[in-house]
Amino acid sequence: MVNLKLKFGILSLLLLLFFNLKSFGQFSNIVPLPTSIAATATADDRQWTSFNTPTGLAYMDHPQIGLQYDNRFGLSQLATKSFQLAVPTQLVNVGASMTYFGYSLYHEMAFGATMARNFGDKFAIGIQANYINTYFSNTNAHLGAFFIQVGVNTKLTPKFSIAIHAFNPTQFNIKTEYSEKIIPTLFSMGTSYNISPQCTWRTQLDKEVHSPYRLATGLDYLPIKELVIKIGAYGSDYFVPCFGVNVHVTQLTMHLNTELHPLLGLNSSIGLKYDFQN
Amino acid sequence: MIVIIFSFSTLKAQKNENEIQQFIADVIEQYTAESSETIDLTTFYDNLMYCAQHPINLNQATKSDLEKLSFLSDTQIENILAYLYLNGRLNTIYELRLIEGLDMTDIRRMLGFVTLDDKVPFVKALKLDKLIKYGKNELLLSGWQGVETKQGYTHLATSPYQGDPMSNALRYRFTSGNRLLAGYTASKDAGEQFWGTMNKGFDYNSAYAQLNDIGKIQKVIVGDFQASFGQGLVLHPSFSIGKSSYVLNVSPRSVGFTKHSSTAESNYFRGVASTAKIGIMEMSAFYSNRYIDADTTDGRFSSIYKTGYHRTWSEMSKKETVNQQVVGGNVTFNFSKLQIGGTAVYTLLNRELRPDQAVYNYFYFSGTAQATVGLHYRALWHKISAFGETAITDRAAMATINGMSFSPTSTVSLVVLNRYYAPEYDSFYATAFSQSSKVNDESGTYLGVEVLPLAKWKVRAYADCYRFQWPKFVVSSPSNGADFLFQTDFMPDKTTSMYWRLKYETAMRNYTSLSSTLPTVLPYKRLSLRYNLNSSYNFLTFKTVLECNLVRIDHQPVTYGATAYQDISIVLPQPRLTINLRVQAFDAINYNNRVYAYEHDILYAFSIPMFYGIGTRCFLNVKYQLSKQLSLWMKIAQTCYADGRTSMGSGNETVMGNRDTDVKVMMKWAF
Repeated sequence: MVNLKLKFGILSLLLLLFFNLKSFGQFSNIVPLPTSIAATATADDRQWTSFNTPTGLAYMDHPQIGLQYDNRFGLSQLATKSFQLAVPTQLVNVGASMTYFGYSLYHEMAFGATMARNFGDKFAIGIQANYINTYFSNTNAHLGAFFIQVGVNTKLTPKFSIAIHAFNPTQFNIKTEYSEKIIPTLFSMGTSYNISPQCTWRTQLDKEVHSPYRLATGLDYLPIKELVIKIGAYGSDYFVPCFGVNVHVTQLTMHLNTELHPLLGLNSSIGLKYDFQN
Repeated sequence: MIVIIFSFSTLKAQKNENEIQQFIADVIEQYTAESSETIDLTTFYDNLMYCAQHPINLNQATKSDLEKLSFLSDTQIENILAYLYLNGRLNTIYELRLIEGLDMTDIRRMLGFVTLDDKVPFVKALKLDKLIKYGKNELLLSGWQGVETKQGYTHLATSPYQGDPMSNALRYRFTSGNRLLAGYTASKDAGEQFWGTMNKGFDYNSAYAQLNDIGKIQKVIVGDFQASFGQGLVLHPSFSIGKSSYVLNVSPRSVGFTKHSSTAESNYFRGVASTAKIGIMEMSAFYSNRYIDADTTDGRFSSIYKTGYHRTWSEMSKKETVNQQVVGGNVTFNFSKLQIGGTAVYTLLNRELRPDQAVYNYFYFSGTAQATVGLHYRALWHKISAFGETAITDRAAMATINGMSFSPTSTVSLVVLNRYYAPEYDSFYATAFSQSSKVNDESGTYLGVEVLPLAKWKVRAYADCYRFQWPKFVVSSPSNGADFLFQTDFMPDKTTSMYWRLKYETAMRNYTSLSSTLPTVLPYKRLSLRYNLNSSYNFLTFKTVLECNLVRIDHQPVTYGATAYQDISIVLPQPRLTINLRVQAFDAINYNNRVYAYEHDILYAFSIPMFYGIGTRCFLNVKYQLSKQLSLWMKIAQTCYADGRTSMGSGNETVMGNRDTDVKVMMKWAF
């Protein structure tokens, strides 16, 4: 009986997640939470999180491998697990990634292949091709769809940049005979300003076509070389404060992000990234 | 994609051509920003492309040569000529920096259209057979079609389209320098029949032949042509420079007769036109005789049908039902600092034009014959340039427009313009500076200013206040309004430029509610903001645009509209490929919040789609030059709405679903 109640609770929460995107601002659960605080990844040129803007990959100098675990509201069934690999080359940086959301009764998987290039530190362009696969219980079948995401980051000055990211701009969805699963279509515009070598301030405006606008801001502060303290907030239907840290130990980086949703509680994300060169 | 990203080799020649194409697109976008009218830009495009292919030698340039560069203001042209007069030849193009009123943005724009090379071939007088022998031929074939089926092609239509859903056009052009030009244009719109009971061949056919510089005769055109004189109160084609971010360019260039080579099926004459120059006097005369479209009943018609669509039997019944004969001319005297001239035009219709009875068109022209005459002038005194035109119809209705531009310092330029168009003034071919699309019943004053406060910065602004003393189509009472624009341009380096534009508009509009039977006229206010960033790197050009607007009608809640788009243009030298890609999102609550965005398109197609609702648009435009002789274009564009709509359009144009997809292809063969 307890198990049934738990499943009912999870299903209710899933319904809330899927059919009321407003409650979650702009993001689909299959998309890993970005390492950038308050999800201000669009203009972030220091870190790349797959399925977020692909331009982040353009600025990478070393091969990198990363794992991430996003936990929503303390429920393992609502967790997203992701893996990413970045390989910079002379001509273009390439990346591969995979993400998984859900549990045995409901799950989604997505795969991404990314290409990005930094053009003389003047601007960067990235494109990611994705395939999403979802299990539909009413047809007892797995169905999938391809979609793309594109990002552009322009450095107007060495300290200030402006970036745009389009996620699934062609509005491709997964259609079944009885229903349609909407893959979010998200447009983001972000800015990044390096106040000093130790401090970066980012802002971002997101619009998912079915959801209200989301305005976010975040500040990264490096008190010492090994530590980044991240503070931010975003507002859509609710005001959500965010806090996080990055810890660098030789070639290993651990990042932790948290955000407090006033209605649904705490979201957290933890990730590990390993650089193959110092 | 890999090929696209990694090609690095010399691409200068192709880049130049594409930069010019990009620039022409920018100019067109500036002029047509927030335009709600479908305008024919073919002539405008042709003129600029001609200048790009035959650059103006600045050291030999005359005023009329520089006037072909429509983005230069009168003051800038005068400053260039004054500099050349005082300092002699330009030795390097960088000397343009020394000319007052020209900033880097202006100079960059000019570069594609001017030269200092004296070796630019001067076309000597040749015999006709030589002109034909050494001429160049160009054949363009294009076709485009919507992917989704419209209701007009299904059994659901009450008055179905008789033709297939593909539009196609054929253009042939012959040019021999600038001496002999000839062409033939034919087109069929989507839904029009190509071969059958309704049509035998193309629905629209147009041809012209133009010969220039035959002794004292400057130009002779036989076939289809357009005419433009003075400020446009008597004669001017449909596309006119009005209010735009080129705040100083309010006065149209009097270009005289030009060939009509576009697929636009209205706003042209068919007959013969000629211009002769005798000393300081230029004389132009023309005669046109053609049939125009109108819905005739009992030997009368209420309006001219200008869409050019003949897709259904109902539309076909309007085709070429009224004969229109036009005779007119212009005499202009050109002194060193003064130009003065007069234009007259007389129109005779074989059926009576009698507009439907409505308050707003009470003063519109009715009858079978109309005569209009006008006097225009342009004068230069020190740094002040004055211009204007006054016209009167045979019913004693007057229209006058007068302006002045001057530059008190090298960094400040101003223009002031006043116009008065009587309610009774309704001339067939008038297109002058005005708020409304018709030159009729309007008085107002415009002030524009351009300041170069710092290197790399430019500030421009205009204010325009106007009044209509008689009701308009969407305003059921006398009304007034005002427009304001403020734009700041910044060019941090040679490859990056950006601008911020703020536009505020206040006007009166009809508003209908359930509680009132008659429309109420209420104040309408609209504020729009736009940020535009252009940057380029080698073969890549990026353009980012963010735009939003707020609209308030009386005391109702404010509504908003927003759009953002990213353009990526790629120019590859090998293969000779040009790719334009856009992703765009828009979110405009209702029609008042609509947004416009100019799009790259196939050659001679100018797309400025309008959006409202919530959705996205993406397009891919590709040009592939197979050889010097053969070029191919292809465009695929899709708009996808995300606001829950299950159909789009109305009547025969209804499309089920939320996606609207267009595919266009074109081939150009030069031989």
